[in-house]
Amino acid sequence: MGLSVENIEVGTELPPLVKHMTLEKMRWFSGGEGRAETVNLHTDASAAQRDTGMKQPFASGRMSLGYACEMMSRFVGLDNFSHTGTIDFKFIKPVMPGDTITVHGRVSEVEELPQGIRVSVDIHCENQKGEKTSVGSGSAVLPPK
Amino acid sequence: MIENLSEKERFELIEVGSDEDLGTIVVTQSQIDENRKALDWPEAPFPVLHGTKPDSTKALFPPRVNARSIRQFFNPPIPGKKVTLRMRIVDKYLRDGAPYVVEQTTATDEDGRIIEVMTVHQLLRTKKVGEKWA
Repeated sequence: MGLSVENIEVGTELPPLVKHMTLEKMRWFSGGEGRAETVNLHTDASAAQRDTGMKQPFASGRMSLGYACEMMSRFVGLDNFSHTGTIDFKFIKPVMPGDTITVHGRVSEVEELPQGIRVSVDIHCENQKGEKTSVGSGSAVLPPK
Repeated sequence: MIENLSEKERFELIEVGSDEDLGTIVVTQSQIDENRKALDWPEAPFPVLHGTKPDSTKALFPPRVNARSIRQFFNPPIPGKKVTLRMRIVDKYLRDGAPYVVEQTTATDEDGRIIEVMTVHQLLRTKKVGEKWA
């Protein structure tokens, strides 16, 4: 769902994105091919207990960041986001296997630049209890019309 | 021996401003596919590249927890291309008495295309997570 420059304004709400977290997905993400450590606090209960005191592994914050990337890419177009996108995310509460995460976004700034229009979005993720799990922002530059 | 040092002593060994060559990796299609399955996003273009290489602060603080990530995207990686990872320690700080390090990694492919720049604030006292949330 790309947008044209004309129909983006401050306050525009992005369509929410819903994701279901599972241990299997966490293992693909944090313990997959090429990883320095396939067994770690994001993939294994005993590692999580040993390293953090958590009883079960919790998802890498970068998974939530990935969800924010998807929401931004749907909004501004994958190609625009892949070449000009940014995400700045703070991880404020662990995401656990079984959690359902909803990503919310709202346009905070639309700025004209020589190379196009930069759209900035306030983004947060919340779990099924309505608790925020990560907060931050994203941006991308749309080419001028 | 690093394991005999206190947290404070290990934190003091982190050199802000130091640059580190994390070597090269080759991005594979299966890495990209695995990342897509993990995120439930069939078009996800950017697997996490810097999670594949240990760096010097990981030797001092083996388990770390990501507290904040800033990713800037420039070009999606191309499977089969070599990607060079360079990391710089840009800051370290204490918050609520707990140590953090800020590392910035730049991923550049063999054709000189910047893939992405990743800045990560790592919590080094990882037990803090369980103290707050377990």
